[in-house]
Amino acid sequence: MKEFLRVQNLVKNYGDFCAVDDLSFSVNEGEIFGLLGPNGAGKSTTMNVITSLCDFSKGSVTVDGADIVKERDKVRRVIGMVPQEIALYPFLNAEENVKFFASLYGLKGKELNSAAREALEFVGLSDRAKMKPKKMSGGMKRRLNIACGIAHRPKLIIMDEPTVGVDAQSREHILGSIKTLRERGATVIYTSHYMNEVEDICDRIAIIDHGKFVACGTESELISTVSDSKALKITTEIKSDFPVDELLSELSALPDVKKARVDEGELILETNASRKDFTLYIEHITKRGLPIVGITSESMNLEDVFIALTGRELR
Amino acid sequence: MLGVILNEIRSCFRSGSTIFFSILFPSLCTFFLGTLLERVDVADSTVGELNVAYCVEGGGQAADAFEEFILSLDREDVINSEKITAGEFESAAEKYSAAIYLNSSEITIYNGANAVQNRTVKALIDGYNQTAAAYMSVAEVNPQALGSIELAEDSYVKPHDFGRTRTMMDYYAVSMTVVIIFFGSCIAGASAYSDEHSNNTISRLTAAPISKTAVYFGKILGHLPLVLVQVGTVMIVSTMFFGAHYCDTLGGNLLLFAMFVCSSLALLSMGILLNLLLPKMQPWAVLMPLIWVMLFFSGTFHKDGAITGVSDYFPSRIILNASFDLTVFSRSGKALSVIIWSLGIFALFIVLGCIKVNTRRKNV
Repeated sequence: MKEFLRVQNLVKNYGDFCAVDDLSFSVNEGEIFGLLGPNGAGKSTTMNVITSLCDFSKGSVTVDGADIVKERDKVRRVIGMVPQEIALYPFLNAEENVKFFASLYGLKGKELNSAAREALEFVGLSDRAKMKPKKMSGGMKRRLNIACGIAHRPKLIIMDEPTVGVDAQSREHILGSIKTLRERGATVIYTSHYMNEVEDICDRIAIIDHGKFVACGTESELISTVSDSKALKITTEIKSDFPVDELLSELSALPDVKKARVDEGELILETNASRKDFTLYIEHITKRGLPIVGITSESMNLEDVFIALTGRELR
Repeated sequence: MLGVILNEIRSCFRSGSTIFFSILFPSLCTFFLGTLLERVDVADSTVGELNVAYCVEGGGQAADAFEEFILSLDREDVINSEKITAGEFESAAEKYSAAIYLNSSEITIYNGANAVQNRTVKALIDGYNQTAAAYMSVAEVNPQALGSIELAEDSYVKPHDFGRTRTMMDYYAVSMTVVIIFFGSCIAGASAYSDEHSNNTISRLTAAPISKTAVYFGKILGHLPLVLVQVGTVMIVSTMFFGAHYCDTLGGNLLLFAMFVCSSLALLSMGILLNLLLPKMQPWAVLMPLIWVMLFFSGTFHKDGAITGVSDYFPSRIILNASFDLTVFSRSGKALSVIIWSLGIFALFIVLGCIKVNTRRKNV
C-alpha cells in the first residue's frame, strides 16, 4: 500500500515546552488512521503541523511525496480539514459556506456548484442548503462542518473529533460518511475521545502521550502489546459462611488463570485461556457447591490498552 | 481573493447589528438630535413683538436724536413704540415689553418680564449709545465732518451673510457622519480578524492554499462597500428626509463625501492593523469607550464639549472642523488636507498590515 503521509522525527517546541518530541509515523493511502492521546498529548499540535497551521522546530513531514515546507501550497491543496470547533460563517447559508471554503481551493463556476451540491448530499444536508447554521441542530452543524472540509475533494482529510456533542443518529451518519470517504480513496486522520468510534472505523491507531510516540498498529496489535488476557465474570450466590479466600487460591492455581477475585458477588477470573477452556473453571466452581447464575466474558479493549500505555483515561 | 471580498460583503450586509449601528442608528441620531435641539434653539432665541414705551425729558439735540432713533426703529418694524409721560411709568410694566426714560444726563431702561425682550431692548440702546459716542468724538475733533456722515444704520453696520443659515439639523448631519466613520469603519476593521477567530474559521482560512496577503486585501476591499453605503446613506437620508444641508454645491458635496470616505479608509486600515497586533482584543469593549470619549471631547455631540487647546488635536475634531469649513464657509483647504493625510495613513497601515500578516505564525 502506498505511503501517503510521513511524519519523521517531528519536534515542536513552544519556548521551553516541548509539545511534540521526536514523533514519527506514517499513514497509508486509503487508510483511516486514528490518533489517540490524552489532553495535551500533542495530537492537535501534530495535526496543526500537518495542515500548515503552525511551524515546527525539527523533523520533516511529507504529504503525497511533497514536503510541507518546500511545497506548502501543493500540500495544502490536497488536505481537507474538519476542525473540532464548528468553523462556519453564521451569516452564510449552508451552500454558501461550503462554496466559500471550496473556492479557497481554486474551485469555481460549475465545478464549484457541483462540488458544493455533492458535499451537502454526502453529509445529508442537500435539503437544508439554504438554511443558515444558527438555525441548525448541533448534529447538522457538525455535518456541515464536514461538508466544508471535503467539498474540494481532498486526498487527505484531517478530522479532529468530528462527532463531539452530536446525537446518535448524526454520529452514525458521520461515521458512515467517513467510511465512504475511505472507499472513495481518501486517506483520513481521525481523532476522537470516543474509543468505540476509533475501534469501529480506524484501520490503524497511533497512541501518543507527552508529545511522544507510545504505540501504533491495528486494534488487535495494540491489545496484544499490552495483554491478551480476558476477564471471565461468573455470577454465583456466595453465602456469608463460604470460604471465599480458599476458593480464590484454588482458582488462581488453575492453568492460565492470572488472577481471581470477588467483586460485588461476582467471581472474576483474569485469564488468557481460550473460551473452550472456561469449562474447567466452571466445573471447579460447581464442585464446590456454588450455583452458576450467569457467565460473561470480556476481552481487553482499546480503552484498557490506552490506560495501560498512558496511565491515564482519555477524558 | 474575490471569494474573500464577496464573503466580507455578505457578512457585512447580512449582519443586523452592522446594519443597525452603521446605517440606521446614525440616521436616527441625526433626526432626533437635529430635531430636538433645533426646537430648543428656536425657543431660546424667539423675541416676539416688542412694545416699547419711551419718555424724553428736557430738550436739545440729544433728545431729538434719541426720539428720531426710536421712531426709526418703529418705522422699520423692529419695535412698536409709544411715547408716554413720566407719570405713566408706574403702569408701563404691565402694558409694554420695556420702557425707556431719557433725561439730560442718562438713559434708563425699565425691564419687562421677558428676559429675551429685555436683552434685545438693551442691545438696541447699547447700539444707539455707541453710535452717539462716535458722533460726539467726531464732533470734538472735526465738527464739519458730521455733515458727511450718514445716519442710516447700514452705513456703519455691514451685514455679511455666510451663506445658508445653519440649523441644528445641519450640524448633526455632519456630526453624525463623523460619528459613523469612526464607529462604522474603525470597529468594523478591528473586527475583521477577531470575527474569524470567534467563528473558528481562521484555521480554515489559514490552512487553505491562498496567500495571507490576498485574505488581508480581500478583507479591506470587502469592507469598502459598507464604508461607501454608510457614509452615503447618512448624507442622503439626512438631506432628503430630514432637510439637512451639507454643501451648497455638488462639487462641495462630492469633496465632502470623498473626505469622509478617505477618513473611513484610514480608520478601517487602522482598525485592521490593531486587530492583527491585538488579535484577542474585543473591539466593541475597547474601542467603543475610547471613541465615545474622543467624540464627546471633540464637540461632536455639542459644541461646548470641546476642550480648548486639546480637542483640536483629536482626529475627530480635525475632520469635524474640515467638514464645517467646507459646508459653512465653502473653504476646501482643510478637507483636502484631511484627504491627503487619510490616504497617507491608509497606505502606511496597509503596508504595515501586509508585513504583519506575512510574518505572523499562528500557533493554535
